[in-house]
Amino acid sequence: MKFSDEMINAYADGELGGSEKADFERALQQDPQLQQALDEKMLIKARVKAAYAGIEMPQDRHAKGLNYSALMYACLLVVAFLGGWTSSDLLVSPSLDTASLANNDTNTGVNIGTETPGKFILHIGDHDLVKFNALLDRAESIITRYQDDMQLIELEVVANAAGLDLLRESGSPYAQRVKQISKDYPNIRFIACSNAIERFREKEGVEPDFIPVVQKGPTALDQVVKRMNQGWTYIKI
Amino acid sequence: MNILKLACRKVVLIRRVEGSRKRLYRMALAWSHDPMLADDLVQEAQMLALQKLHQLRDEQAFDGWIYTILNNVWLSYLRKCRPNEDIDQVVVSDAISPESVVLLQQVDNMVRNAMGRLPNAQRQIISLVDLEDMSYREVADVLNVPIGTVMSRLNRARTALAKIIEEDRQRQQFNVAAIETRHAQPLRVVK
Repeated sequence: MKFSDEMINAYADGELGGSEKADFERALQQDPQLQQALDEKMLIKARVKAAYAGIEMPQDRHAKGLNYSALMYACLLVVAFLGGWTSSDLLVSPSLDTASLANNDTNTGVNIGTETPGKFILHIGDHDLVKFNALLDRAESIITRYQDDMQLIELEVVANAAGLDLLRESGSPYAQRVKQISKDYPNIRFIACSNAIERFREKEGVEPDFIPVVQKGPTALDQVVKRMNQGWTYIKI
Repeated sequence: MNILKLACRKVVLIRRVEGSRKRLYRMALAWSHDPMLADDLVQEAQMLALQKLHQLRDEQAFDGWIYTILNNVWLSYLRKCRPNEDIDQVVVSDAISPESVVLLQQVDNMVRNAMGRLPNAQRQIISLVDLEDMSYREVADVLNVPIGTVMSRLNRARTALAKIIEEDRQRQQFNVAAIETRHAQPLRVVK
């Protein structure tokens, strides 16, 4: 029986079963050319696998901090045993409040279910003036919504990649507005991703000219994971 | 306890997204042939995954789901950076000159370089099958192509890769021989 190259690959990749596999293995016993063709496929497969097996990750800029997942488990268990899980607030679907605040044509807020009201992390990763404006509008609308209870609200804006420009003095026309917002609402924090800062340094050869209120954070990913684990709502702009 | 399970599920998923960095990086490197870019693609994919956690209905499908996201990030990068090219055909490393072949003495480097010279559609398939041990069905789902296409492209990828590696090896041997010949020539005394 003649086997196509696709079938030989399929055997090498463990895709054949039942009678197809049995037929193939029987043919292998009798056909040295088929065996050679299979060996060639297996060799190239092994080479590809080996070529990436020992690759080094780029310098790990992800800070090792608290194990927030474990912390969250612990909190959940305590709440479960003490509170008896009677409150409907703990349901996974976003509350009305979150859903309405996060409502946008393309982006919805996401949180881990055990939602903490009034906690939002907004993320920008592009240099896009329309998005910069939308982000600041969104931040202000969330804050305004909670203006009667300012103790409750906490909001972080985290910028990475080209989104870093939002937080730079000369990065966008919105620097003044960022300053004004952080002056008006001290419970908004602006955080720059450590990866993006490093990339900026490598590319430009200078430190980013951050607006003074900007905090240098861990990576954007770490910050988002940390906040999501704490029950914050994540909104990508 | 169902509510506890549901809440924990999301915590577990966040952790899985976080923990998949190394595997995603390996794949992104195989696709992009650029360590810095691969790192950026992975971070972007992880952020998107966190944003879309609620869309993952079946935890068993996590791997396929997150690689689909990585694929979308990669393709949108290619579309943005190479708007006038056929994405399936994009290669990410140049054909190498005979002089640079000596730098590829290590076989792993040679294979990675050869991977970069495959058309994108072939490179993606061979890396999903060989690095992640994905089934053809899973690859077809991640890349949104028919399973027959996966099989034919995989075959073309393996055939092309073997050919490129063999050619590079021959050029390398030729190059090493040339260097040895040069060194073997006796020095002439210049008066």
